[in-house]
Amino acid sequence: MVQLRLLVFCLCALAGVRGFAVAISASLLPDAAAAQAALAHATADGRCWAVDIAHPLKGTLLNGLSDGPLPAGRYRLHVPLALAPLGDLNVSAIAITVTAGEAKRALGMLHFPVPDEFTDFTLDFTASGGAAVPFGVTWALDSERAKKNRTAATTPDVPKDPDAPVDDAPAEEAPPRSDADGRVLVRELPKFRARLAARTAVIERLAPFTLEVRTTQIVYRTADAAEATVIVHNVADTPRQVTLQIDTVSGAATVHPVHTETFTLPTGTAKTWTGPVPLTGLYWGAELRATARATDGMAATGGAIFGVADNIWETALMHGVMFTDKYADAKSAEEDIRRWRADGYTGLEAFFWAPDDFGDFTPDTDNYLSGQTQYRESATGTKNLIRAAHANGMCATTYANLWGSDGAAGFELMRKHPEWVGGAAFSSDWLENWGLMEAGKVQFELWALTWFKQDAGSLAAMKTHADEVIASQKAFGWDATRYDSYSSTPWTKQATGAVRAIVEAAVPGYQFGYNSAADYDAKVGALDVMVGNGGLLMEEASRDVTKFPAPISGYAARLATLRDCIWPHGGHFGLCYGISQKVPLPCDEVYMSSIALACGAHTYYDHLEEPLGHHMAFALRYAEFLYNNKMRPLQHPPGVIAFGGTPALLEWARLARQVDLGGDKHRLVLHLIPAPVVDRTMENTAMQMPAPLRALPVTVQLPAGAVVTSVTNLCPTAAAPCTALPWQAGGALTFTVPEVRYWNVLVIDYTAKEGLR
Amino acid sequence: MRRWLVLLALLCVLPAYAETDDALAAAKGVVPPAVWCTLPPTPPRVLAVRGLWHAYYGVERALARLGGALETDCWHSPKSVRFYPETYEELMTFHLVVVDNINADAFGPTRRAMLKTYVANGGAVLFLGGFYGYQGYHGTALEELAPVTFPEKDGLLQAPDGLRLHTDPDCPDTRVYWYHPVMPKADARVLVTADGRPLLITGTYGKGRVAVFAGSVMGDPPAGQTPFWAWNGWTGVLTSTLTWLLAPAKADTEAYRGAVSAALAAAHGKREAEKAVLLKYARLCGDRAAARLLVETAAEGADDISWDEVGAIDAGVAAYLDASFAPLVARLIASEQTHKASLGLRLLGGTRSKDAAKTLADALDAGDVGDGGGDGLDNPGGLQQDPTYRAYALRVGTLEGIGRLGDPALLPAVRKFRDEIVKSASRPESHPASLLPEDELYQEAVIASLRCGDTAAAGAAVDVLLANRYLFIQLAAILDEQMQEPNEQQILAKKRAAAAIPHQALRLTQLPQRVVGVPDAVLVALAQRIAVEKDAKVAELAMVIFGANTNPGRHWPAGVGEALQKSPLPAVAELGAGMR
Repeated sequence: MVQLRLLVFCLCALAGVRGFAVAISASLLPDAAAAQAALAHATADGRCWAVDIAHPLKGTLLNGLSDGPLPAGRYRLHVPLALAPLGDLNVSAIAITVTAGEAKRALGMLHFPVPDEFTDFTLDFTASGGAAVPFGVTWALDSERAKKNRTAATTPDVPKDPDAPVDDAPAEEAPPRSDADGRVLVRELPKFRARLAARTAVIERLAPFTLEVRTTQIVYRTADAAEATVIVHNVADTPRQVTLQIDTVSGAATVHPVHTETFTLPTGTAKTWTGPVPLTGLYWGAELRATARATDGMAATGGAIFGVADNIWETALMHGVMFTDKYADAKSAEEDIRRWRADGYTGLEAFFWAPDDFGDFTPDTDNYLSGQTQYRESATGTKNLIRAAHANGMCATTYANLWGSDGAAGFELMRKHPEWVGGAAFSSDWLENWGLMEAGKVQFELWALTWFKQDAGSLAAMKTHADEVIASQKAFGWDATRYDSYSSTPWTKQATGAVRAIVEAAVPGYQFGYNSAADYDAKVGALDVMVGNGGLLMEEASRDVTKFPAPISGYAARLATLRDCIWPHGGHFGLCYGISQKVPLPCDEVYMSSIALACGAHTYYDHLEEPLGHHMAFALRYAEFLYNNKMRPLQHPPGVIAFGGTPALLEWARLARQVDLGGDKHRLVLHLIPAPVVDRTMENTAMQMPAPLRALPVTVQLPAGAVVTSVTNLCPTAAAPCTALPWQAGGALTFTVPEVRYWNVLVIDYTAKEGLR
Repeated sequence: MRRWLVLLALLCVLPAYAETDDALAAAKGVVPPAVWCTLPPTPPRVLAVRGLWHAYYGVERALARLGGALETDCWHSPKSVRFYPETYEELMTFHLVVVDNINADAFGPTRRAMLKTYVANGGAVLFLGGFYGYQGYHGTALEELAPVTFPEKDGLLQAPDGLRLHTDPDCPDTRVYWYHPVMPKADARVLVTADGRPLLITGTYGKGRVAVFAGSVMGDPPAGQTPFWAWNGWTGVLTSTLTWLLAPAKADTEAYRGAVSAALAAAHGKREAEKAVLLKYARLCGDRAAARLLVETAAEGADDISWDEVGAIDAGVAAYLDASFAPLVARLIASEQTHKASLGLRLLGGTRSKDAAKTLADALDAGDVGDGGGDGLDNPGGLQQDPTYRAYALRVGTLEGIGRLGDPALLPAVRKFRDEIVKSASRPESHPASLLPEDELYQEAVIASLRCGDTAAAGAAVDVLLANRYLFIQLAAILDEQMQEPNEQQILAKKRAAAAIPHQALRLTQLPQRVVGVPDAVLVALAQRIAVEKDAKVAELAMVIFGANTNPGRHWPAGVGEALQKSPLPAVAELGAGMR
């Protein structure tokens, strides 16, 4: 049997690509309705183009052209694709690329909800006119992980004992028969061990405009004067009359008009509008949305997401910065800040930059070595970075230690004030050679550090530290200090209080953050002094879930616990999001991003999941429903909320939040995250994901007399991330969630004398 | 009855003894040697155990004022002293040990016991206070040898407004802010007090001398006050103390010869045993007769000697070479054994025999001597038979021989070789973490050029000497690197660094000594290059090259002292000032 399987395997390998890479044409359809009709027709046809992806490493599913020259304009390609099997090593790392003209879209296995179910994937593109536009669907398994997975999936199991009986493996079926145009019956797709299929390809005409929308900042304070720029391009080959409407959209869908005008745009030209954006009524996240409507009613839209908050932590999505010497050139700083902003970061933390992370935040020379890591740093570079960050509405925070000093400057502080110091870790040659390191004669990275006695005497050191923080704030413009390796003791409580009192008196609004264990801080009653008045407490240990296999459910439970420790004290929950510690599994990324945001975590350093759901942008846009730290847990969620069919949802009860919005307005927020199939990070290489929950009924027992004002379904991985759901309010509120795949946020706004508790 | 009483007394005393540093050292098999050897007192050899803030004390400046010294450094971390001598034979090569701001635990019981024995046999120790200074000294061998007793706890006290120093003759208002409350022993001398508290105390222990400075360089003086370390007179106090500490140092070469002869006899001609003796005693070679004994032993064996022996013997006998060594050297060169031949070529320059220049020039050109290569019987298939290695080993020897000969006629050949080999040598900006054979040959060629009178090589020579130090630092840093999850490459790098460090440490000491006695023509250029160097460790090089103690009786050409005085480093400027 083994020999037969090997023979089949070899024949398949020799045969190369099985299935059909076909050349097809796509019809141009006048609008969305026509496109949907064409898609429905293709569904009824019951046939599709398919390729076997079980054996080769890459291939082409479709190669096509529009069925004639496309006039200059904007278009949308529709390609309903299906993939199977899902949660299988053969396809878990597949990279599918859809192209149309110059546009490109990447898809992976996690984009497909159900095996062999067709999903309409779209790709918008611009045609310059006069020629047919090519499009295509290709696929590849070219990453190391993909090759590893494929090897694991296709290597026959050879028994250790050659005489032992061999399990009969099913022989591969012959591929399905294809018709004249290369299509196979959809119902025969399972004859391919692993397959990628396309049902059809159609092109929909769009309004011939492109829009660029930019706000001056990614986050504003309420008192800021916001400004935006909208550029409308006419890509058609005839002049067009355009009505440009600019609004801000906040909350779920509250629209605030900003500007409207009508004008004629000659062919190939653009019009730029720059003007003020009123921030009145806006807080948390919002979108500046621009719509360019043609006289035929077709419209193009564009948007830019931004935040409005007076405390930097409320909308914080932090990027880490080091090696500031490269930013001595201001252009370099501006470029990187622009890039990080585009990635969705709202702030940066410079870590390991100071000459001493306790006692020296004002370097004597422009170029110097950082105390902890001996990184090459530049005061000018740091200033350039902060200036660029602020210009883009990003906050800039510094890393610090409260427990001791480091580097040459730290040991000089120890020499001057040994009465503060309890001990030190060093080798005296490291410090002797500091000057040589600065001169570039030697190069190494060793952490020489001191730690303070935790007694009344060493509290005097806090004045030195606070003065340095103030001086550094004035010199550089920091918005906050985040302490690393913070550990609550009676002494740190006193020290923190002392520092905050001095700094906040000198720099009103200056913020503080801590890397600490919130549950322990809560236990010893330290949180008020730490995060009272809106500080941030950041959890670092949980980053290791991508370094060592760990339960995903444990991650959710831990983060939910920490959030509930911090928020009652008025603080914000930060999270060291360490996805990059090892090459992450995309399924782990989806879970970690969803859980982090569902738990109200402001993430640090690594980027949240991107290709599937734009989690960074989602976090800022819907910050109100994720980060409002006045939201509180329900006392007994199962007594209030019920789901039809008792789906396995991760920590839904602990994640449920209620908040009073003032007057008789109240809000309930639910987070639905299907429990993982494999509850361990780093181990689910086949990426088995739970089947989507479809048409999930939800019942909520609202307080007597409650009147529902809206039910909103938010989902970062859906084509439309924010949709209003219809509901019925009789004895209880009932509604249906169309689909829950990875994470949905349900926002129920209602009025009542008393909100849920 | 009396027997029982004695037994009872022993039972009472033994547990206490078992905990002493001496007992703990003995339990590890570390016992003092039967014979204590001492090197000639000029130049003084100083072992500096450099704790935190060592530079503030200005020890190097005081040594420079004394005429310089050969300084060997080791460093402190709270749990250890790194690169500290592990054997008595290493320790006894020093005339003075400076223990600056080091806690007792960092030494450990064995090293504490060794230091006590060292002083008892004529060594000297200067203790300096600080954050770690005198911590845990109470009840240890260090307290035994010191002229003071140390408090069991609260051994560091603060005087926020400072204590005023009183010296003899009395000094202007200068203060100490942190001090150790030590208690002078009965026979101790208190040389400096601070508001009545003993600050500098001296005393003897056995044949040796010990000074304890109970102050520290810690504190943040209020405006208008002068801490003692910034006071001009402090160098004078320290110099006087060092002078007193070093006064008894004298060579005991007879004892040495006896010891080495006895050890060689005990080796019964066995190669490994002889090798151990040579490595152990070579560094202690104290006169010409002893030097001859070492070279004879190296030349006589049937087998080739090791590369370590080549370095050790060369360094040990260098000062005593003369024409009388010529026959021995010829035997080494003719041995056809790679390492022996390399040693012979090194020593050849010191014999100044009439054919030395030609032999060395030929060897440099050919990378070999005589017929080339041995029969390999001593180590069949061994490294020494590898032609590339042999060429390297012989050229290293040749360049050292040429340098020692100092014949300007050989300069063109050395320059040519140097200019060629530099192309393959490591670039300093790459922070090399190993000494390639090409690096070593380049360094030897630069030093040889200088010794042959090449003024243009002065800058490169100082660069080479400093580069050796930088390599040592890089290797030490690799050993220290904290790695959470080291990969194979990093583990290998650590192993390599650990293996390379001893050789590099030896090179740090030996290479600067080769620059001693360079021709007058290169001295001003050398001084000018040293004077612009900001690396404080150049002071140690300067003391070797320009110190009166390493150059007894030498008259310095005009311009040397003036150049050195321009250095921003006090120790270097002090050397220059001393030349007036």
